[in-house]
Amino acid sequence: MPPPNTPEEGLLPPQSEPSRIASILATATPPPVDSAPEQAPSPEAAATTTTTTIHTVVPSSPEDPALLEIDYQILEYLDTVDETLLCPVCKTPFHEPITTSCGHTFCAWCINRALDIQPTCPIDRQPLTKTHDYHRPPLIIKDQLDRLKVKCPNKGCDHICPREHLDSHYERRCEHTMVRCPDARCRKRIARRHVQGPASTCMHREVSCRYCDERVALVDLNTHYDFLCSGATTKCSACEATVVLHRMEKHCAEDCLETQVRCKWHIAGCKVDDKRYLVQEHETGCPYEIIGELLKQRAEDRRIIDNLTDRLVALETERREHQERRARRRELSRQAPNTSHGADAIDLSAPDPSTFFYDMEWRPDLSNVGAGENRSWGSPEDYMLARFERLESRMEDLSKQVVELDAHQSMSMLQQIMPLNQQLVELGSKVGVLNMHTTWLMNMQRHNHLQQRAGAVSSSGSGMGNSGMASMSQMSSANDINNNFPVRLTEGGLPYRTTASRRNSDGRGEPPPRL
Amino acid sequence: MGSTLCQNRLIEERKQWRKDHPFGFWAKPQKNPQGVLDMKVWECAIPGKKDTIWEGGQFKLHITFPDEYPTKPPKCKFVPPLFHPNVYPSGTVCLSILNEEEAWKPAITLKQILLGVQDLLNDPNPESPAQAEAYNLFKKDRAEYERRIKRIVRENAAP
Repeated sequence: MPPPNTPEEGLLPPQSEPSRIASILATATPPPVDSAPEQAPSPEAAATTTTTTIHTVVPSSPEDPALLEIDYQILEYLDTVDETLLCPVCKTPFHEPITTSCGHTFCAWCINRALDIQPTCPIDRQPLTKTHDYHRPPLIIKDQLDRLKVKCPNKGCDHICPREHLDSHYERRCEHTMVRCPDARCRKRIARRHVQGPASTCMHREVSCRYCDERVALVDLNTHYDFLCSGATTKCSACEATVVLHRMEKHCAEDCLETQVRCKWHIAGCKVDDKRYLVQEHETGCPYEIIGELLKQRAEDRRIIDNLTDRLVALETERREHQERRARRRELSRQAPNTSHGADAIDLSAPDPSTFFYDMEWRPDLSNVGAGENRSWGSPEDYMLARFERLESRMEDLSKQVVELDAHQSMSMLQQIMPLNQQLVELGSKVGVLNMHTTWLMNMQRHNHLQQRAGAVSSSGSGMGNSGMASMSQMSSANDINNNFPVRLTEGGLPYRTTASRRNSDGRGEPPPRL
Repeated sequence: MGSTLCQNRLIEERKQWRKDHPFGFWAKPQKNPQGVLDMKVWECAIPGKKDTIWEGGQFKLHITFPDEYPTKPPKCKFVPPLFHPNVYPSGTVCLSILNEEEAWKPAITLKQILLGVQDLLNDPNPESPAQAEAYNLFKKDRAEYERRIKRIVRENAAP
């Protein structure tokens, strides 16, 4: 029996029901509505449910949360979702699924709504209690759900991502997410992209339109100018259309059908220059289109070629510089040994400490050499570099040799030491054996002595029984020793058991006294 | 929020139906007088099953979804009322899967409802009669019942 609050594996604990439900539903449903069905069919609750309308997002708490929650039931999925992943209640892919004791899986939110009204499983109508009969569904279901490709629920956002990334996109990145107005006093919401800077100016503050008498919220101003403003419209001089003043420029540049424009293939030589609607008609079959496309292609190719040429030139100069440098260096290293310091001919293969140190000592008067007598060496810098390179390669060689030597040394050490070690161990064991022998022999001798003395004393004729008893106990202790002895000796590798027992059976060897 | 579940579920039902539905059936949400779709009332049509006396007919049905849908079943009503032992004089269909107390469960889809009603046409349930006329005829004079059905089918022929 687990203590009352231990959660069982894979099972939501039956205790603390309200808080459990709250935690399950915290992300799926706003608390006010969540708590309403708990008190069940109160008229207010019914009223709130009927008046709610569909929103892309639903507020998650009464006290103005930073973000509105995503309504998973109205998400748009890119691919057809397998039917087994659809909640039988809402018929959309599971969101925070739970599995009931009868084995059916539902969205936590849906099953709770269903059980509020009827306490039976929505599939097989078996009696069910809220949270009591819930299990966590297999993780594979979550994985499958996480992978579903889904469209961002924000209007105007075309972002598509796996469902597991939707939250982070919606909460942090999406520019269309409705966030709180920068003005702390304002309770309205505003799309993230409309929040300009950290300034706490309320974007819902009303400003007056430049063209009409209307007062428009700052955030809606552009939409107002673009579509709603009735004030300063003007007739397009070309096409007679009524256009908002604000959009006149754009209208002429992009939309007006009467404006004089050139065919978009004029770069290819098309001479057509007419009203836009005629040009648009013409453009679809313009014979210059092919040339235009080719020109475009060519320009693109040109760009790539230029790019490549630039890079080639750069690489070429770099290579030349490099080559020059190397040649100079090679020359230097060839000349260096033949200068006044001819002694510093270094044999890389056989490092000789004397030459090495000589070389080291020789370095200081380099400045003399580089600056003075020999111009063919180039700058002292190059000379230094050449020297440095050579030294480096020698260093490398040396360190390689050192490592090799080290390995060799340790190998030979091992080879020499191992047999010695073995011999030592052998000797040790022999000494041990000898030690045993001497101890045993000495003990025997002492025993003999004792017996002789005892014989001399017992001639007086008293204490027979005592000595008999003593000899009995001596016998048994001697057996002990005999039994222990061979075992210890055989460890030393010598066949002592046989000799010892033989000696015993001969009757010559008296049992040694107890040590 | 309850109505959100109802609305969302109906939107899903509509999506599913448009993606795939049985041949000869149709179902669409009704337009209210302002021309706005009312997802809670659907107009449907059920064809008579092949190889039965109902073959060739098409029967119009209004399905009304309550706010508590899908926890509570929708109400199906033949318009005009149909001559059938399990259809009330008002046109309402008496079917176990449409009864909250009996076999309704939220997992039942619109397609299953319509197929269920189609099955009911040729397979009336004498245990729960809903109109006297059809029931009596069905019980007492099967030949006359069938003649009557055939006439109705002719009157409601599928286009």
